[in-house]
Amino acid sequence: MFLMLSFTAPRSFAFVIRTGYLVLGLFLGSCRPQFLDTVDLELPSKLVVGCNLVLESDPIFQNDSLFLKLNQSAPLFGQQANSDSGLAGATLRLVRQRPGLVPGPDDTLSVFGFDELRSVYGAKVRRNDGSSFVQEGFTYHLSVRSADGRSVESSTTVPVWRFSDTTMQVLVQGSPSTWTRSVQIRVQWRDLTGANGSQDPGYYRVNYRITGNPWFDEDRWLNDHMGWYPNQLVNVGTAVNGLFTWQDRVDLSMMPGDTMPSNGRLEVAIQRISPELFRYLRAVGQQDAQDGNPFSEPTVIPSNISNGLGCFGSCVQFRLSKPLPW
Amino acid sequence: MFQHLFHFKFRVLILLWLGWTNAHAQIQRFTVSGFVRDAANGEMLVGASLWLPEIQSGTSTNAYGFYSMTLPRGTYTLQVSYVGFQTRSLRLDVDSNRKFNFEMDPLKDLQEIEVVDDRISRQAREVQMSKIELTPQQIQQIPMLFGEKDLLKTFQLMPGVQKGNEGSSGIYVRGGGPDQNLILLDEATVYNASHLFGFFSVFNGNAIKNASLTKGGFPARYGGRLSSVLDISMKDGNNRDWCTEGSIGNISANVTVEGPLIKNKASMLVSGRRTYLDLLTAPLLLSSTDGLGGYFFQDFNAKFNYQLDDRNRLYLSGYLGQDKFYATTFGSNPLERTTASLGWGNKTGTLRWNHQANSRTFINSSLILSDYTFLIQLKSNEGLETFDLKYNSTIRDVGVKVDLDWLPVPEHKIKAGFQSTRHTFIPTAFVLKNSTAPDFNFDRVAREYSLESGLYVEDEWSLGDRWLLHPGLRVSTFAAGTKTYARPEPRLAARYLLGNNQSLKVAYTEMNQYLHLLSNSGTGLPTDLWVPANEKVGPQFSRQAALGYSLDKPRRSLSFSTEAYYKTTQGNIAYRPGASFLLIDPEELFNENGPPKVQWEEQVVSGSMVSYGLEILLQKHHGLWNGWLGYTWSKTDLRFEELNGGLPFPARYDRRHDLSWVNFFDIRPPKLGRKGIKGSAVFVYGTGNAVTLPQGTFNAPILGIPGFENNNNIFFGPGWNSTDYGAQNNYRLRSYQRVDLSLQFTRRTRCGERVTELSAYNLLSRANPWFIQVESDRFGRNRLVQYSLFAFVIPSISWRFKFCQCS
Repeated sequence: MFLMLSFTAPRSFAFVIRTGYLVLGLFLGSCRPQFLDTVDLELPSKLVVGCNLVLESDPIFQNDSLFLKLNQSAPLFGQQANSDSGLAGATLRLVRQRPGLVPGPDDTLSVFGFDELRSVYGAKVRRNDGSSFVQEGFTYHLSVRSADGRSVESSTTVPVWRFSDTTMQVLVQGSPSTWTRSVQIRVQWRDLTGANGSQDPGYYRVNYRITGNPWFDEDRWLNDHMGWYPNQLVNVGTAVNGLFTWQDRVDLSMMPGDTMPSNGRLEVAIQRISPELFRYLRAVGQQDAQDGNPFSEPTVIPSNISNGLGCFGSCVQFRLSKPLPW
Repeated sequence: MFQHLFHFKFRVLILLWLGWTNAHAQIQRFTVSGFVRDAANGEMLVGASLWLPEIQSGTSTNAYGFYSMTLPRGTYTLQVSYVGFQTRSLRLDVDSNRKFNFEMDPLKDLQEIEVVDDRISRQAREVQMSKIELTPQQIQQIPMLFGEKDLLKTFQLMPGVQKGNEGSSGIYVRGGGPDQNLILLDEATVYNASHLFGFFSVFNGNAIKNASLTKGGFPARYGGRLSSVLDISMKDGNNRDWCTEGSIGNISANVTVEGPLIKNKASMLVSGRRTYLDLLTAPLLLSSTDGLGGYFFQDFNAKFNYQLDDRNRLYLSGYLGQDKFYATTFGSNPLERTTASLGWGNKTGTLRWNHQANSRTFINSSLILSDYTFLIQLKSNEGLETFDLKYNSTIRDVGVKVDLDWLPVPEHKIKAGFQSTRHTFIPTAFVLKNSTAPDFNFDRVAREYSLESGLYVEDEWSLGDRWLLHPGLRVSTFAAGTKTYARPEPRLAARYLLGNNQSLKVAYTEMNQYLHLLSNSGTGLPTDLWVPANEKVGPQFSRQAALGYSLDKPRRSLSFSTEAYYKTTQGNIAYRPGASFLLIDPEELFNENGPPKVQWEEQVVSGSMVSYGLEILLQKHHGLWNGWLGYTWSKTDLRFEELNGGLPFPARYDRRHDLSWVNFFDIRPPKLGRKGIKGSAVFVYGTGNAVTLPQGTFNAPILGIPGFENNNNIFFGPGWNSTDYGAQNNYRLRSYQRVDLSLQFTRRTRCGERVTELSAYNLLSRANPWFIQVESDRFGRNRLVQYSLFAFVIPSISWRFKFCQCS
């Protein structure tokens, strides 16, 4: 009926009807709404490497072994991979290069064992003559080949660190009648090395623990939680005339009736860390702090593992220790 | 010996100068000057061409329709032309200083063209490159989303100008971000030129006289932004007859009234536009719910001009625009009401004085105001208890500007001027008034002030028949807080004529930008904040070089141009990882001292950009079929030390290929008593946007302190999965393709016309990507889902009308 009307009605009205047909026809003829569409995407699982070469400023503390963690990421799309357990059966090789020299036969470490309990690879770094495979200023090239044929590479240069005027101030507040103690720590050091080029202006990581106390495990470092990492990291931006300062405060509580320990010690470990390790630690902490906030910018965790994730870093460590006056 | 050498050189210079002036003195020269207007309504025509074939030389009108030419004594044929108007040709006897004002008649239909508009043959002869000019007629013909004609979306169809997201009216010019475009409406800066999150621009087409977009080769008179200058002039108002025009479309209606307050001496124009969907739904909401809500946008333009005498003219123009989402709920008590709103808007005002000092000198002086505000508000009244929370961000400008056009000799066209603007920034203003807890009230407003100035001089210098140089220098200064920046910005453009209608062009520019736009990529809100450069965050700086070739074929009404450009930028800013646009910690919102003030400088990182590309534009200007084909190949990489591990990454709107094919068909020209039919078809194609797609999750291993591992765990990790984002902007969305069609039926009457337009947006129902998201299916597996906004054809119908006083 409407079709007949469009040809028999007065001209202007017919025009409107025909126009309506045209619009409706266009709409219906091509209406296949596809607001949602699944995009086929397969992403590979990546190898994740964690390894930190540590050189103690006091050889007494130098570790006999170095450790490497190897697992894999779980891709968002495609075949799911187990990302929780370590990957055994990998082939590892660590080559040391002295500045300006070609690596020699003594500069390769390829004997790595796999510790099933701790799910890590380890290698002995202390030589028979007592010297360590890990030396400052040397560049280390790591190559990892997993059991399923995937391989990654990385390299790091152990920082050179000279320092002086190292002090630690500790203040304990509270009274015997209360069951809390507030411990404030302030550590300062003067960096004599200066910047190792523009890429390494000076990055540090500080951690501490309190021993001889009933409130915490003796072996546990107090600010090892991810949320504390921004607190651990120190960079050259905070230094004044080469003097770095780091400070923190921890409140300790005990139950009424507990016996106050007669001794306690505060131990602080200061590490001058490689730039890639600094950026990695900072990004992991930032991503944690975002915690799904939709208004904040996403944080990309940088990695110096080619074709992989994680970080191969290095550091020089210095320890301070002081008794605590409870 | 040096004294002798000095005196000798000095004498040589004096002799040369005397020789030059003597030579010029012997050639008698006279100046011809005046204005070029539209005969129908008295509007000044900007960029109208005046050409003298005998000497193969000419000029064009300036931004106020004024021209001046100094010629040797003699007789000439002067051709005056302008797009859309009939060319005028007259015999000119130059034997004294003369004043000629021209009135141009619009073209009625194609058959009336007897002389092809030879202005296009002079595009190859102009020194200015990288410039696009659009007329309101072109904008009216292009099919658009919901039938809403949009100036910015029309520019997106040109090479070198990328669009943003689906439906967005933002423009990205030669790799630059939307903050790097200087948008001027009658010389006032418009800070946010978008309605409805970028779906429509704020410019009402009925109020616009002309618009030009300069992408490179910037003359020294422009400064303050790095990527482009979009210069829009409002109509002055018909000073002959009263006219009314308007339109009604799918979502908005607009009306414009213009006319003479004093015929041929003073005129006015008032134009308004508003969406009406919320008005239509308000009664339904009120009757069915206990509240109402909706969204609208509106624009209001007004302009008055008054000709004091032959040499002096005053203009006053203004713009008000607003977007608002609102929701109001009512309680059982008439005094109970809660209102929430989210809104933003621009206000601009310009007062200008044109003064023709003499036949060779023209001066424009302007007082300019501009304001942009974004506001979130929550108000609640429950009887005697009130709660009022307001968050706003504002930028406000007050400025003066003086421009001088001086044509001392035919070989030199000199422009010089000065501009100074006082910016007031209020990046965050938080006000809380709570009658039940007055102790928690606070009024935290952060204000910053700055003064931005620029002094420039430029010269269009003819060197013989083939070379045309355009050197210029701009010195810009910016004072904010304790810091003052002062930087020279050299500009140079040159044109070499290869033949009558083809030329090579080259340009080099340096630009500084002292304002930054903080843009959060995670939200879709207009929460962009304008902040000034200061002692902590410096200005942005760019260098751009461009090389181009231009060819005109006036007999075939064709023109071809191609340009290659290379641009570098330093000082770009972006939010650092983890930063938030709110600049406050939400958990501290109700802190007894109020939210702590967060310095925006701590939220950003600074980086650089490299962009290069090739643009091709082929245009047919007249005929039953006309239009253009534009193609751009480009690459834009960003680099920030603290983003993406310091490695370069593609910009979000880095599009390798961008193609626009625009066709106009004059099916049947309109005449009195006969309906005219025009058609248009547009095809666009673009490479997909670059986005950051999470790759997976992993346990980020972190070595503990050797020898003191906790419970034999050597590695401490966060205990939960970290997200692997891969590289920044590591994933490309699907390509963007779209076909639009429209038909316009025009009926002319003696005193006006009516146009009915039918259009189809996205005719092929292409599901173009809007954004992507990771979702889980019912088996718990992740899948990547693409959302499309306009996944089917969108038809629209609109009706436009115009009628004027019949004389």
